[in-house]
Amino acid sequence: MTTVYSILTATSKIRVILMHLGSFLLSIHEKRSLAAAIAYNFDKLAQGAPEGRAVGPTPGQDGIFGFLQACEDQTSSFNWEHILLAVGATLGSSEEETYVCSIPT
Amino acid sequence: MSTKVTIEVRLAAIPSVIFRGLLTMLPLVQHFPEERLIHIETNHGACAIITWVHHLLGLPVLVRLHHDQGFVEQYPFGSSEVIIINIGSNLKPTILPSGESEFRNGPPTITLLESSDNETLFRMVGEPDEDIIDATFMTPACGYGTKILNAAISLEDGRDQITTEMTHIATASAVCISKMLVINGVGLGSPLPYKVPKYRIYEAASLLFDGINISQKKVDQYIVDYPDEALFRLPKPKDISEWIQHSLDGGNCASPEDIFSNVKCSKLCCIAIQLSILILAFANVSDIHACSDLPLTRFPNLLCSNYLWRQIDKGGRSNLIYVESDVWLEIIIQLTIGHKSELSFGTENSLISARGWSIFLNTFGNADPSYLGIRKIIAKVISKYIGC
Repeated sequence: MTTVYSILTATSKIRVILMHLGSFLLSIHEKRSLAAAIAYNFDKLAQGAPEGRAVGPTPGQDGIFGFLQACEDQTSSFNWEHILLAVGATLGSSEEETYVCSIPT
Repeated sequence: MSTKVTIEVRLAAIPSVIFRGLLTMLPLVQHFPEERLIHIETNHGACAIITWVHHLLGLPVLVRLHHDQGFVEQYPFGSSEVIIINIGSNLKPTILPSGESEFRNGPPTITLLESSDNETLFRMVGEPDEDIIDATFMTPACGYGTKILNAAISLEDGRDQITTEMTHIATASAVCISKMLVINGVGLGSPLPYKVPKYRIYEAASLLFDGINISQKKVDQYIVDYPDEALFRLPKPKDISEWIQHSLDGGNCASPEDIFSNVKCSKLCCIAIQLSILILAFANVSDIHACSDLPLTRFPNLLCSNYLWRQIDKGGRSNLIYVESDVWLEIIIQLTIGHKSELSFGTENSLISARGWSIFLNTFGNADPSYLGIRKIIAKVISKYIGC
């Protein structure tokens, strides 16, 4: 019973972490191209797997897109902008420069 | 003193190769933070990478900012360093066909190292044909116009004054456009004027230009001053003539009058017309204050593909502009979704949900066709935040 419970908590923890990460990445990146990049990464990993080792099925781009869509719909009201602007200010750029260039050069 | 370079906003996204590298390497670093080290060389997306690895995952980061003059500034995030981001370090001399040498940025790279002896474990370099991850930035509708205008005008030019003038011009332009709008009168044969009440236009303008005091008297004056020949020729602003004179010197327009009044010449006028279209769209929203948090993309130029823009672009002031009543829905959806590729908007669409919001026509779900005449857009929050 304890094992089942701990597995369940672990899965829901992973889900929360993925949700946070998805929510953050979506605040900057465009959904469709982000899904494509993640799918491309899975493909690359599958290609690079050692020979003879079974590779599990990798999620398709549409599946990833759906997951990102769910993340966005449920978490988009969180304002990541504040953290990004704070980071930008530490690096010495003003609000609008953080948007325009994200780095001072 | 660092020199500021403006980079296309879309480049603020994390480069694809760094993104893939982080997805693969971060778990390895999280498992053995003492034994692994990541070196990143990139010019874009530094803020996003820091937020991801430091604020979300709690890993310490050191940013090294390489200046053109050869000195390096360091910004630590956290006590030690597990991830080092080098910005501006990968400048490489390239020989141009003309024989001159030029410094160009090399491709972004990400390297995983053994921290004890700095041995490279593996390294990923950007591929030239790899797809770029596109960036999208959203801003709430409240104050949207002010932010867009502020971003287009530099501080030295006297930003506040120009923004205020442009706000009044955009509002005047919205009123002028609204006078030209007609709908097809079914069965009557002649077009019916499409009325957008003036007070609604002012309401929409004060939401979009939050923080700017819109004087109705001034707007009325601009409406009177509006040139007759074409809608996209804006009236000349009064209070900022010095600035116009200044931009005349740097302008590349054929005739001096064109520098301000012609959309095709001036980026600022282009933005003003785009914002006036947006004002009209928001004037058609049923509860405007409910949607003050509605996220809109920071690329108002997406509206250039819109039907209304094309009509304004080619129409004179005497031409009537025929509108379908869902043109407003399309405008707001275009900016909420924020990307052309995702938008397959057909006339049959009456509801779209994105980013936790639903935008729909108030006739949605109405079986009685007699309601179809008045269509207002309703934007509603469907889920502010659902915990998981």
